[in-house]
Amino acid sequence: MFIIGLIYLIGVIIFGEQHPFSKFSMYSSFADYSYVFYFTDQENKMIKCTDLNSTGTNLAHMYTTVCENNNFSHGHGMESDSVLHEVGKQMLNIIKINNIKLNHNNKKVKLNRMYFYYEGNIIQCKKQEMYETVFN
Amino acid sequence: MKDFYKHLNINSYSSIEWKLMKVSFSLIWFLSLLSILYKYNFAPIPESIFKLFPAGFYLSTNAKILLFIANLILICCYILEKYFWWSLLGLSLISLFGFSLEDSNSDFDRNTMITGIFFAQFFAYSIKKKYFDFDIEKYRVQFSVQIIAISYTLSAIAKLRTSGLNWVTDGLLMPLQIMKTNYFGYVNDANIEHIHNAHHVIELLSKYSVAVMFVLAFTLIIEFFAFVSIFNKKYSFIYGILLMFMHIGIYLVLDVAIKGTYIPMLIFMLNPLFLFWTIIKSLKNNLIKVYEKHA
Repeated sequence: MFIIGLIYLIGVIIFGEQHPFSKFSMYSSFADYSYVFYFTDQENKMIKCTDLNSTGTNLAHMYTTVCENNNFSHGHGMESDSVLHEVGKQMLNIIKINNIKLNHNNKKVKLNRMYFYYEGNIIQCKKQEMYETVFN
Repeated sequence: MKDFYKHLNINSYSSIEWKLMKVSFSLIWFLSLLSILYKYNFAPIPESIFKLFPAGFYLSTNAKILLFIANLILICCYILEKYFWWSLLGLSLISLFGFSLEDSNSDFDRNTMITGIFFAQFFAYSIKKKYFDFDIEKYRVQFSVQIIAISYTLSAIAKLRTSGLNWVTDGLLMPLQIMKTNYFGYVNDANIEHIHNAHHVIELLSKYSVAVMFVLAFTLIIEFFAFVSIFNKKYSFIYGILLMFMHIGIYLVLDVAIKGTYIPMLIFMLNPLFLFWTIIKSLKNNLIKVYEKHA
């Protein structure tokens, strides 16, 4: 009686990565770069993601989805400043939507990206500001 | 513990095992939905069933309260096994809705197993409705284990399809991923310990690169053969222990705890509440014996 496993497998083949089906492809490869996104305020102090109903993982997934929805090539730090600006704008709009009930008193929020990559055997980190907006 | 070993050798699940699985599973589901309802009102990047909803979906506070109450009633029915088929159908649909809403906010928490398990149990009870001799005591749990097992096997297949066996050697690029996942923790709570942990783990792994490849190969094998746990209860328990160690390893190295995956696995493969209940029962029996001896 392995029918459920079989049904799930067929569901994954047909629907792909649509809940409740998944290929569980996380960490199926080890990329030679990685991105981390974070928020800062007007004084460039870090704002915890949890303060904006978000998480680091959430932002990383959002970045990929927004890039794919806009057909922007992404990865290995290839994104131009204008692409980063546009993606950051769309990401902050989504973040804003889920924070309408929070009182941020016209708080300035910046979305930034850390790009980790190898130079020789040493890990380098490049920080870039993506977009700035006001939460009210 | 004798009782526990005895239970492992019987390839069916007792009423108390099933009840404790349901209680633990209901609790994790209840907390998950609560968190989704607290966090999300919109589906800005529609995924799954939200692709069928009209644009500009909004979940009002009243709708949230209604959903919360309905869920609470369904959970009570699920635990008490009243209107069981209907409660499983309701929970499956709410779970599908809730986690799709979460995915539609790019919050991919890998909760597919929870919805899958509700649907699997619903499917088992649907078969029971039609075929009276269907061994529901066994299959309501075994179907749930099938969802868990196939998920791990699929994860191994994804690794083999994307990277092939090179996945094991590519693990030498893992420091970048370790950096990333630990920084995820840091940007979440601003605790600098995550970054210290990343540097500590990277330094440790660079010293033992052969051991890292060995652990990765072992992980791939464990995941690939997870379907073995479907065959009987004892295999499922042993596999549960292996997977638990795998998740502990992932947490220590990558600072990643995939709650939507390891919690259902622990509940349906190891059933910690039942293990705890057996220990308490055995302690109680031993105390009674000691008391009777000295009385």
